[in-house]
Amino acid sequence: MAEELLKVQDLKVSVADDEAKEILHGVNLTVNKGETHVLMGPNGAGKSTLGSTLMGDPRYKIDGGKIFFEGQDITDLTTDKISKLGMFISFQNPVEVPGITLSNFIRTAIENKTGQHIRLWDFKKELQKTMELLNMDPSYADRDLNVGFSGGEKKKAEILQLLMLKPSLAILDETDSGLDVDAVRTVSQGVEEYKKTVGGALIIITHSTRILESLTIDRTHVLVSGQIVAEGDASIVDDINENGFEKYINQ
Amino acid sequence: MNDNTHFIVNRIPSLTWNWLHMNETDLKEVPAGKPSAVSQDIPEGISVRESTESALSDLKTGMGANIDQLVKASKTPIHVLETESNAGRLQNAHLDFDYAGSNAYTDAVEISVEENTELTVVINFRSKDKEEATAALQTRYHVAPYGKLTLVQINYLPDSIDFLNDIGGQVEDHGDFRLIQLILGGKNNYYGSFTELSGYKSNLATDIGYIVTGRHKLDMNYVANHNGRKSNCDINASGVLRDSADKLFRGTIDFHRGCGGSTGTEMENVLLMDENVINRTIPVILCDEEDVEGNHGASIGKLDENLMFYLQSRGLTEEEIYEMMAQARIDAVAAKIPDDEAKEEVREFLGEE
Repeated sequence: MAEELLKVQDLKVSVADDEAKEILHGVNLTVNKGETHVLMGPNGAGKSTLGSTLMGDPRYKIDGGKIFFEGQDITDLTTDKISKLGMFISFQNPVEVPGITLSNFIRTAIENKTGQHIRLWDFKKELQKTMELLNMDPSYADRDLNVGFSGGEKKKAEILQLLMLKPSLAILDETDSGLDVDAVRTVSQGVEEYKKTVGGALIIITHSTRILESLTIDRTHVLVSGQIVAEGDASIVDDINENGFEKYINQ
Repeated sequence: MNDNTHFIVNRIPSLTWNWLHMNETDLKEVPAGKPSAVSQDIPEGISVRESTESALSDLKTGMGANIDQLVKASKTPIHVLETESNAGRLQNAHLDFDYAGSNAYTDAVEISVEENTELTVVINFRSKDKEEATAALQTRYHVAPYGKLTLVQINYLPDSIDFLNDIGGQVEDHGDFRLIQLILGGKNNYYGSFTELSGYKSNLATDIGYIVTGRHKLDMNYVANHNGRKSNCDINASGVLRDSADKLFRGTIDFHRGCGGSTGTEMENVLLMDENVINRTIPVILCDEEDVEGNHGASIGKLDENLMFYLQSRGLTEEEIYEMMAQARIDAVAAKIPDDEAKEEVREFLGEE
């Protein structure tokens, strides 16, 4: 039997400073180890809110329901603790962090996660190899994190962190949006590499289907107005690709 | 005013309301001290001498006339560094001020960079003494047309020493003055710098990085005085306040009539690490000329919530993020030091690899 990794039970979420505004109205979701899930839905459906809430974003308030990760109740855990348990989110708009280089940041994050010092030489070798895979110019390692990066480079830097931090669950929030065809291909290769080498599970939040082309999808969820209105296999992706969200919105 | 009861420093050029207590600082009494032990590493192309007379005494300084009187009263010899004209880029000069064996020190430095010559002077301040002391340094400089002076000052003092660091100078046509100051130690620090941008296209770049801890004070007064046409200044102060630290930053860009086409920017970036810190800032842009552009901006307080969530999602705790960002502020200023040895020493001092 598949081993359960993430279980979301009847999750109700509102904006932290505006409790009247409930965004998610009882979401249920289960992701087993190593599975690839796709979360689709029209703009404003609550996809990113769900992703951020799973990661413990304090800007959202959980009004009801529970979140379990590897059997542990993480509903009230802070973001850093959830991250240390093995969850990762790739941001739609990664923030710029002046004064911290990409390389130093990833190294700090790895050492923090594992609690062990990694040798600089070993780290640099792995970083270089991974950057090569993502067609990233090696000079980016010594640049301040995301500062002055193009949209494509920011997304690549997110996938670079994914590959270096090796989480057991990665939420990719619109990682393919705003990218040209080549960049989507590169990012997809990175995601494939993550599946191959880390064997982790994925929740891919997306509007489009380009990033999904080279992945085997285990389950698709359609989120409309804060509720999951349809679930199924990869055929839902094809259906939405052809016919849009209309029939799900009208459900 | 300098009678027996007042010692006024860091007065802003244009006064504001008195009740804000930001116009100036009264240190009450500062003892005239003896010269400190100075070790020098001066490369070829720079002449060094000691003088009792100042050739640049007409130039205003940031802390003000009381420091002049202090230097005079102390009879401290002035360390004079001079370059030749058309010498190109010289190797870096190093001066180390070591405060030991007294409870009061007064020193003075003068640097003259001639035409088409580029010089970097790195000055370190340190002391192994744990005794309470007051140290004062006044530095005056002159940058001739097409000259460039980079003055790096790094404060490694123990927290038993009150430190007064006064700078004043003039930059002529196409001249460039860069001031990089790292304030990593000291008890109460008083810093002032006045730059007379008299030359056409003269330029000033100031980068200050500081960490203030305990109940210590940092009191600053930086003035860019624009008289030259198309002159430019950038003043950046970036720092971290911890515990019950008390910081006051005064930054004035003064555009005088005739400095048309000039631009000036002052930016402040302060990270407040504890509830009890006192952070005061008075950015001033004075304008007596129409065709100028002055900007000021400040980022003060806590870290942005988007940034916090991003960094926490990579496993860092709130405390670790604040430490990392505090370090980053100092690192960013240290990275601008055009001297590998000095950079390395800062890194070692801060406990980095």
